[in-house]
Amino acid sequence: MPLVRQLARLAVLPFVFWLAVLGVVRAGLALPEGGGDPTAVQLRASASAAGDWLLRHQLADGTYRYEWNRDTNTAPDDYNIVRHAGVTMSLYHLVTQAGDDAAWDGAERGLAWMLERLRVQDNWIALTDPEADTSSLGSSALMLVALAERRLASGDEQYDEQMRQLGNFLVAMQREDGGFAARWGLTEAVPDYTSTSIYYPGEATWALALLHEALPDAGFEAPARRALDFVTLERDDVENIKWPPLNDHWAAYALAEMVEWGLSDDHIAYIRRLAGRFSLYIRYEAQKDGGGLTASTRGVDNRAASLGTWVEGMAALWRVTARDERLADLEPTLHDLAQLGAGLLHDRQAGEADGPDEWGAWFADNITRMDDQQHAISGLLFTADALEGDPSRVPNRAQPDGTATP
Amino acid sequence: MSDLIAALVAFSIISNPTAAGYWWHQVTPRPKERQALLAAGLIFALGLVCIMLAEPLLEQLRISPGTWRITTGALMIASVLFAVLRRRPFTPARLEGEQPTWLLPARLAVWIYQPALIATVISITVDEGPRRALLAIAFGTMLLLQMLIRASALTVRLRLSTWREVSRITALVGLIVAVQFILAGIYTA
Repeated sequence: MPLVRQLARLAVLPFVFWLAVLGVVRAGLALPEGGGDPTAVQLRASASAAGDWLLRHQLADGTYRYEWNRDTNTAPDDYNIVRHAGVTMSLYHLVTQAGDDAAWDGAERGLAWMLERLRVQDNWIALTDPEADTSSLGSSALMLVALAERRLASGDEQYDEQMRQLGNFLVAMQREDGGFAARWGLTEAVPDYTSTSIYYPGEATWALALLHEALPDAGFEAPARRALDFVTLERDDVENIKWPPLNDHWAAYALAEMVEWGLSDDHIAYIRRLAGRFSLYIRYEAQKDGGGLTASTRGVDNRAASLGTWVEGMAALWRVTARDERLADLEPTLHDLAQLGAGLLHDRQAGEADGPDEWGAWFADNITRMDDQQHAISGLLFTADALEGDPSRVPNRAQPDGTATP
Repeated sequence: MSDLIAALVAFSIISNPTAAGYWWHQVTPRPKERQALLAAGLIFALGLVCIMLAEPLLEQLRISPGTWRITTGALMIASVLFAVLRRRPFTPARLEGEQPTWLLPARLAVWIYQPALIATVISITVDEGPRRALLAIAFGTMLLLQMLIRASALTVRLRLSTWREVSRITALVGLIVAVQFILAGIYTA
């Protein structure tokens, strides 16, 4: 038998085996990842469109349309005070990160609604739903973040006292281990230490960090550091997170703010783990947009409120890698992953052709909720900064060409 | 373990020098240093090609490094199963007739570079950079060369069947590397 034929016969079995293996792997594991390579200009435009959607659907009293089903054109009579604070925060992000002045008025209306719902006690205030019998940590924390972002955007110090008093509430809720009670019982007038929340501590940590940055002499550095230690080193155990680390974008924001204060090696190790978690989620989500058989193997798209948080977290951790040399090796990877996730958000957003009711929003099962826009806006804006290599929080100003420069 | 050492270990285990020596001895019972050197050169050259193609390939396939790590781990597992579940693994087929001198080194190089090893080199390249990948290939190729040169001498102390089982065990160690790659794909960015 000729040599060539002998060699060909030898190669048949391995060739068939590996062809089958590679086919299975490509179909099941190594799926193509969608998302494209959006530019910073595109991402800011996408965020502004989402902000416009929120403003078009804001009610006269300052609240936002909570949820809307485009298929049935129905909106449930439901609201969430924590998400209200979060949406207002993201509108201020549009002002600080993209110089989007149109967002300012809507954010101010959202802020006015919150200022009317403050419970005052001792030396603190807390954002409180009048119909509830508790004040939640998360709503006050995100209101404080919104005020800090407002201060950053405008330099206006008129709400410094409210910021200080909201900070006092967070400190009053802080436990000895650095964690927090999730709620204040209005009837008993004490923190409800039996209540917990997996995300509120991260929100409170970020809020305290921003507060210390705004008012350095007000004494909030120590509580912020204790909170960061709790969130990064203990929270997952205390809260029995089944698959740690919890994908906590709020913690990522806090770390991005506190990197200038100096992070411990334990914090750095946590950042690597957290980046791994966001990476896995974003990659998996991106595989849904890769075409081919992915729809049948990867399930339906996650809502923007989920994907947006992963992009927020990745972009925030990118800021840490840009500022701490111990994480410099991660910088290009996190840059690319934030861009990947932001690209998905950009691609999935309803466009102008979808009509004014839908344009700028994200829908899952024909439903959009206000925090879909909130998380996407913040994630897109901070990723745009990452694409321009800007880890600073100096307010950006919109330029005619769509870029935003400090 | 540092990342560089992990890369050296990964390439060296997945390329399985023990099995390569066993394979080589069966087709060249007498020492043939020039052919062994040629084989090592080819193996190194194919590694270089993998390094050069790594980033463009992943870009073309639209796969991120983390996902590729998981893919590499899966291919390693398939490679181990392909090796250890066969009754007589690492056994080269005999060819009839006269063969050109370059054929044997070329066959070994192709036999070594199964998809699992190609995936490993690509993964090391995109994660650790081309320099470290080059070091890993150079180190692994040196080990392979030593095994090829000493293959005949080893048979004095080691029966062929024992050698085959040792090679099977070396392949099984690849499962540990595979799990490490999969975990790295899941837990690291």
